[in-house]
Amino acid sequence: MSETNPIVDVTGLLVEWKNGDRAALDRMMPLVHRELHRLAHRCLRGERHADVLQTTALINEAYLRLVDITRVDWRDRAHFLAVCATMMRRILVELARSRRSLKRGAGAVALPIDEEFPARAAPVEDLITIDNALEALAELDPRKARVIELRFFGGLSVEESAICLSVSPDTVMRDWRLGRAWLLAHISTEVHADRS
Amino acid sequence: MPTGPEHWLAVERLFLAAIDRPVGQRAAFVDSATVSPEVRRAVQELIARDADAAAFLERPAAALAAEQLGLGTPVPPFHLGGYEVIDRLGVGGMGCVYRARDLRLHRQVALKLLPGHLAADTAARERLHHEALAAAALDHPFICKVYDVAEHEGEAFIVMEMIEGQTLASRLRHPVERSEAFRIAGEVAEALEAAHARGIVHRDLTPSNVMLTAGGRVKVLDFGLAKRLEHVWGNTGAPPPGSQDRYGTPAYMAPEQIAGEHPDARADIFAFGIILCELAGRRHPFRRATVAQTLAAIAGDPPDLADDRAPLPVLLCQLLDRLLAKCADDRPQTMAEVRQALQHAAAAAPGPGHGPPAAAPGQLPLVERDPEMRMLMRQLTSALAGSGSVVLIGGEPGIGKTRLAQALLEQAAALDAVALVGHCREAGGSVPYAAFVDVLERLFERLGESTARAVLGESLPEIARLMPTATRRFGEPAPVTEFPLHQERRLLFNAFLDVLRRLGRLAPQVFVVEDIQWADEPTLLLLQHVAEAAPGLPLLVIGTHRDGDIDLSRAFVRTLDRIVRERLARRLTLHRLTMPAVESLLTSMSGRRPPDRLTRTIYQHTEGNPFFVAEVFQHLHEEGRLFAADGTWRTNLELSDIRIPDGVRVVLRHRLDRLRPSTIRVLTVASLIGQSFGTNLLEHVCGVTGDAVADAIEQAEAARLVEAEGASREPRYRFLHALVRRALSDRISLPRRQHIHARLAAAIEQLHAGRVDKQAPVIAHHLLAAGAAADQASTLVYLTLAAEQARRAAAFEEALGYFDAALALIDDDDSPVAAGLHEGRADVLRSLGRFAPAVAAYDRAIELYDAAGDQARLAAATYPLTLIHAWNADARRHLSVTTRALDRLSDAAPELRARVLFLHALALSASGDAEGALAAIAEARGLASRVHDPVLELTGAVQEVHVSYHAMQIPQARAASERAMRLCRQARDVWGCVDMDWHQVMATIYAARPLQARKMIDQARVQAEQVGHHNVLWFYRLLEGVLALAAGDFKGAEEHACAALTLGDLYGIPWNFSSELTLGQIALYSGRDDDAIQHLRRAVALEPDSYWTGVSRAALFAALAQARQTEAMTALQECPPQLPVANRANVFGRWVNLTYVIEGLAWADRLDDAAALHAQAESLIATGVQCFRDMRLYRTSAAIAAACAGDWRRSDEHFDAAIALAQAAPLPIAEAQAHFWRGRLLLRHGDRTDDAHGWLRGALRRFDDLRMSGYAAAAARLLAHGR
Repeated sequence: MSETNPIVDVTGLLVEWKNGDRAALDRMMPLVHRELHRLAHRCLRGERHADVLQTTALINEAYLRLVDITRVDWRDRAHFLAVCATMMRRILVELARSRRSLKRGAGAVALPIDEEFPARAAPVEDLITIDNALEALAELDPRKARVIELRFFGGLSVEESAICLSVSPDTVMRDWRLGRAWLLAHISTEVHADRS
Repeated sequence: MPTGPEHWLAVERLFLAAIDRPVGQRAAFVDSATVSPEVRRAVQELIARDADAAAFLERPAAALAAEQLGLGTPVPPFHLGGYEVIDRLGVGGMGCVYRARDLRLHRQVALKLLPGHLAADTAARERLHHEALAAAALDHPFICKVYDVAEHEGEAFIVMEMIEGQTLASRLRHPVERSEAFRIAGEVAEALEAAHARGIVHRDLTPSNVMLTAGGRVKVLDFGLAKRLEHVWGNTGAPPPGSQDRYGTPAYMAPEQIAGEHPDARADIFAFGIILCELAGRRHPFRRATVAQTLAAIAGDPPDLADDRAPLPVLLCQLLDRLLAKCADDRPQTMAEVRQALQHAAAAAPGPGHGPPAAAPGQLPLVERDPEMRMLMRQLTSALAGSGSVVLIGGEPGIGKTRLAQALLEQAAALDAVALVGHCREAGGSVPYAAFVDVLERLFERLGESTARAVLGESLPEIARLMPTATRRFGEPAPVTEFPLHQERRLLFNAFLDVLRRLGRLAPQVFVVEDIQWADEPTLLLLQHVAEAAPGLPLLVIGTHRDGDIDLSRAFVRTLDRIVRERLARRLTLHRLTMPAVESLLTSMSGRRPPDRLTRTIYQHTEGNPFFVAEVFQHLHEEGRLFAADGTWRTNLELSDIRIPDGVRVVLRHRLDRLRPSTIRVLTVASLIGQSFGTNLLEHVCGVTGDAVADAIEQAEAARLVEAEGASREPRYRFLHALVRRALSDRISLPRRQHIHARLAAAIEQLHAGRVDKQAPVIAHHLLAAGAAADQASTLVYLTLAAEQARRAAAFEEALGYFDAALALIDDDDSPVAAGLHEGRADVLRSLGRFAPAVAAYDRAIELYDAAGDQARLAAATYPLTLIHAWNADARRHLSVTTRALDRLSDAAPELRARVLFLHALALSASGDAEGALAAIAEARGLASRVHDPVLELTGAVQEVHVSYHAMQIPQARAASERAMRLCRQARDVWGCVDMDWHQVMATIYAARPLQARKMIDQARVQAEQVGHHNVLWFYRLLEGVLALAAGDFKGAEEHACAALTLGDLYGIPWNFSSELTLGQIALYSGRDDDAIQHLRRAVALEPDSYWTGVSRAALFAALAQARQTEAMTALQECPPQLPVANRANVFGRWVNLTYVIEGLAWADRLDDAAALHAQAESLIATGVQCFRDMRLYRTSAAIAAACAGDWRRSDEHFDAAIALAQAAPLPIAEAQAHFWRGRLLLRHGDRTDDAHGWLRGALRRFDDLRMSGYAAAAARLLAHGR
């Protein structure tokens, strides 16, 4: 495992993992994590537009950097991305937690221009809150939690998610909708509970 | 989330089944499912959340993280393509908006950076580009201009017009005035209409997408673009999962959008409906706790338009109902249709409590007027609470008086007051009281039929004289006969106030009377009258007027002075703007902050006059000096290059020069019509088609020169400022002006054929202005018509002006036409109380009638002339007029002679010749009975009443007055009725019935006050003093008598000596002899020659005889009073003299002299009259005379009758006096001393009780010393 050529390593590990070697995944994870972390931080440092910052792009970049696409099947990409989604979730939530401990309001610089009722950008879109809710959903219905994780944190498309989970795209769509509604309901209840 | 794992499968199944159904049916579906309550509850919540979740988790977590952490969004300044991003304006779900500079075009722009990468799909990109082009092609003042849709290094952004201002969403957090709401809605509607016409649908119209510039102008954002961009460039390159084509902000989506159908223009119309609803001060009509419930409400519930404050205007409600129809087919199908309906609703809205008149389109914003506005608001608040006032806003032309008044009206309307405007017209040519007529007409247009009728009440006949429309709506009221002097006007003014009072019970009123410096005098007097009454009414009247104009009329200056001196109104003077205010004005007009240099230059040249500022701005703008093609300030704004004209008129001239010649032609004619004008007349006079006129008006409207005026059948416009009108009419030569005026007169005559009377003032105005171009004969006709009309409306000054103008036109002053004009002139002069010139004018008219042999007119003119003399108590001239007239009418028709004979009878009686007067009446009645002439009958009856009273023939007078009263009522002659009431009161007094008289006075006074019959009111006041005195209330008597004296002076009552007479009597009874004599001497000096025949002198003699006996006899011999002639009719002054002389002689112990008057005293008793209005009983005088003559039987009879009468009345003083004289005379007689002492003791006790110290002392002296 060479530090200088992660591509070879990750590609090999990915192929091995797909061929049934669970240990290959464990070895691959730190490599992917490191790369994703590096990419995410580079993005979040402001070198590019946040509005342009895309999980998909990020993960795709990681994929391109770590995997030699000539050696893998197209379906392997979905599996790779699925791994990335989990890691991405961890990276982003960690980041959010570390920032939250810093001075409050550090990031609150923007004036909202959406003023119509009801607010479009709901206050519930907080990564830590979503992460916690997703945890709760996973206990009730793991697949739905996974669909959310893949699509929201990993930026996977409906089709890619379907491949990862070996279900139909329709099922992904249904899971997505119910999962999302459940999360909103859960978060609102929590917020409510917090306030009271 | 209460769902446990045990229910989860059931929940999932039901949820998935539910979301397959249309939004509106989901809740019902879940409710009907056979599941456990927990599951149902959970699914209900989940489907609600599902709808809310549309945007939830749509943005990738990394982007969310970046935003949350404040990372990633670049901090300006930075460069993006050809733009330098300066600062960030805001962030939203749709991306970030920045202020940026276009480096290529050197202009400020707004950049909206969109999220996401460009999709690889080239077809999508092309489609997007196509749509962007379409949106960019939208060039409309109310649409935010899209300059470009660009990409740079994979980042997409929209380049658009930079707008300083706020979103409608934030504006809606504060209440929006109804007029502003209509304006904003109108502009949004226009924007949508323009876009739809190009096939562009907004799809996401919300209050956040509507910007309001600093000047309040609407700019609609993101037309048909933003949502598409998001769609095409979205994070996944595909529509968000589950969103189908459902872009749009949930709360503003149309039902069909929610159902996932492709939205068309009618979805925008629905969204517009919601915005209109919010603008009208209502909540979002489908607002619910969650987005899902809101969506369900949009899909299934009727809109909630209720509000506990005020109901919406009907038309607006109807429009909202249609806009918010669930089915797109039931909505108005085009924005053009919506806009039209909106205009109707706006025009109809400003009814009571429904918003102010529509604001002028080019109206300037109100800057730097906070203190003034606060003052006005205080007055408004107080008026709403029932205590009104008049405020006069003054200032130089263009200073913003109208704008300020307008702002107040908006406030007033928002507070549910009736807010109305009336205009005074420059340079004549309008109906009298034009401004108030404006207000009344607008008011009655809005009141329902029955309400209007109730508000008019009994005032209809008077109001109808002002307002022809009242007659049209409620029918011709019965004609009102002539009133003397100012009384017609007083009646009219009081009627106007009565209407205001009744209106005040419906709602508070706020009237703006514009340009009162041009008001005719009657309007000013009415304003003054209203000002006096305002503190008791929920009424605020704002008058605007120019200050410091050299051609202010004297009447205006006088009225203004008086109103201010008497604190009837508050004044508010507007001053010029400061430089910062000029800056904010320019910012408001341009929507951008002006460069300092420009502000400074404009400020220096205009000295802060807002109108001038606006005109200069408009001028420079029209010259293309201010803005670059993109609408920003020109960067190369060379001020040295900008020449600002020296005066506002020069600016206006420049601006007019830019109009089409055809527009100028039409406007010039309009300027000669007046400040406001109708298009019909314009078409007629300009000889062009309606289209041509419309073109001209449209150009003028666009150039902010004219504005539409309220809603009426005929389109009407007004010049935005008087100076605009002046500038137009100044452009053409005098002969041309005259020519146009002549054509206008002809056109009005033609347009109003058949009912030209009402137009007489206008036609007369144009004919006069036409000068040589007009036909003199028709000018005279219209001037006379206008004069008569003004006279009928009690606008005497106006009428006088017309008569004078007409007389000035006549070369031959001896013509019969001139006679009529002189008479008319005399009538109005009389009504104005200007008697000397009135008499001269009547004399001239009578002379001309005589020369022309026009006996009828001569007789007619004699009547008012004699009234002047009668009212002035000028018996001598009165008689000379009637004598001369009778001489000239010796061979005239009986009715003419009869008419003058009745007047002659009054003249004779006024001169003290009762016999002659009664003979004249008899002759006149004989003549009158040959003709049936109701007017003559009424005149005769009234004169007969006067003459019989003067002759103390009370039974005849009573009968005549009952007949006269009946005739007066028939003729609706309120004035005559008041007169007759007074006679009835006097008859009651003469019958010695003080209690009844007091009751009658209380009743009669109401009507007398209503018509303002000063003579009668004065007399009733004096009578109250007399009645108080008779009851022994000296203090009350003195108060009333003093008040009567003051009133009499104030009103110029020729009979005011009576007040002194009463004061003298009070002093005498109170034991203040010297005071009494002083009062009586003054009475002697004041008393005119009349049927009173020196009654003051007789009273003075009696008082002197009581106090200073020798002086009394000297006075009596120097000037013996006129006494009644035996066996003849005598005016009552002579009878009263008789009683005073008898009493005086008795005081002076000249018993033989008194005895000589016994026979006359018996004649007095035979008249059946019990007392004069000093409440001294005639019986007592007769008893004294009889006793002096030694006829003790007769004397006892009279004393018994007097005492019985005094006790019954009751008249305690008269009773005490009767006791006193009886005792005193018996004591003188010598043989019934015991009786005498008995009477004197009775008198002493009574005088003591009454605190009549002088009389008590006299009685005590007689008891003690026998003298």
